[in-house]
Amino acid sequence: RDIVVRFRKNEPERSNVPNMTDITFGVVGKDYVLMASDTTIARSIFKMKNNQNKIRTLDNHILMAWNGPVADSINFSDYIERNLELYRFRNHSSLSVHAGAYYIRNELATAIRSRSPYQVNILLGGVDKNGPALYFMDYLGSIMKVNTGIQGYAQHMTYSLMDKQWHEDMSLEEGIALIKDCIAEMKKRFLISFDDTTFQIVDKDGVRVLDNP
Amino acid sequence: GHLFQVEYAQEAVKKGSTAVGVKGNGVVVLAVEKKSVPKLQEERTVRKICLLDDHVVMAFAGLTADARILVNRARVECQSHKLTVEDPVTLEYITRFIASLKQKYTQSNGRRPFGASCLIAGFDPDSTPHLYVTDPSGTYTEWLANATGRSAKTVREFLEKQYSTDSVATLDLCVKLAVRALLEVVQSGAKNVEVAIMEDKKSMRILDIESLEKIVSEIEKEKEEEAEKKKPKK
Repeated sequence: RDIVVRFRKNEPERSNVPNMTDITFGVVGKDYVLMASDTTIARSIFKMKNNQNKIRTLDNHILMAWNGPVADSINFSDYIERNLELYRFRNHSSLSVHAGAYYIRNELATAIRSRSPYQVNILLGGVDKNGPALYFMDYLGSIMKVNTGIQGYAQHMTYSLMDKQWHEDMSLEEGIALIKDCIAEMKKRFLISFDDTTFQIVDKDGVRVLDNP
Repeated sequence: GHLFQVEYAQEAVKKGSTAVGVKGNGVVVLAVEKKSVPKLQEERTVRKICLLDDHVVMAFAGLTADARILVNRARVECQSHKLTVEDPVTLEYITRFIASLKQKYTQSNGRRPFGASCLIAGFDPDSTPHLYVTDPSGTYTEWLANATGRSAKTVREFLEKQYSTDSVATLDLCVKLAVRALLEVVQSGAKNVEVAIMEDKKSMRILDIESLEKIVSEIEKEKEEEAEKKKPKK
């Protein structure tokens, strides 16, 4: 296959379900997609790192938040990032958000049917000429276009909150407030504590980090 | 001894349209001859300057189809390299890759060498500029300025006379030298030349037609002034 090479050794046996303790939110607003995630990496009972960015920027105009074990997530994210860049050089233009989402889904769907599946759930957000779009993907290769996306255990605690507060054409302030409410709910009720979160936004000007949302 | 297939490939390169590369102060410029297209043909489907990565650009002379394969393999290799070592390729690495690929095809049975000579230009991650030339035999060399394709010898001799640190001290001077060198063998006119400019940490720029026309007319004027000086005074 004429795609970028990746280096895979023999996989150790492990369960297929990615860990659910990563917290990631995505919200579609008026002309932007806002994403936030926690920044903690756990290793058995320890918090190994608390400033990990779990939201990757692909090709300068797509945000991809990953959930799952760091190994698979980073491997998969790197692989996707390189292949999207290769597409850009070959075709003199970037892949659209929709096409990118389905490309990623295809990779996950192929992997789950192979001897070495990826344990990673994805929230993909981007803005192109069709407007803002958010896609929810999981390690089995499912894909859903959503207005509010949540991954992990956070789904159990914040979907109803999102349902109540989300509405069409939200301004940036409303979007930030919505996600902040969700984060507050998690801090209150979720067993696993987390300190910092990172907020990133993609709009027609591209991707940027919100330092003080 | 002679490897005829390699020599035939080099002949194919000599028939291709000219490409010139000039390394200047903080800039590398590639200029290629744009063959005039038939009236009904879409001009932009003929692409002689190819971006391999954000910091590497390539021009070639010779068989376009052969060069296309090389460009594709080089693009994949640029990304593979970044995937495995998290660093963009250096110019030398990607040139060595392309040259090794060319060499393989001079030594396997059932294959013929690539009939294309490549000018590979850009900046390393440590901001040093480089210009490399590869040849169908699989050799590669680094140059301050060089040309391949039709009448490359004439262009190279011109560059040998004209190239100096002063003559490429600024971006504009470097571009002017590259265009001037190319115009030695190409029919004069901005529409026959395509120029790509590579600067450190900036994306590749193709010079627009207005700037190109301005440069060409400046060159014409300079040529006339030099011709006037050479005329014997009565």
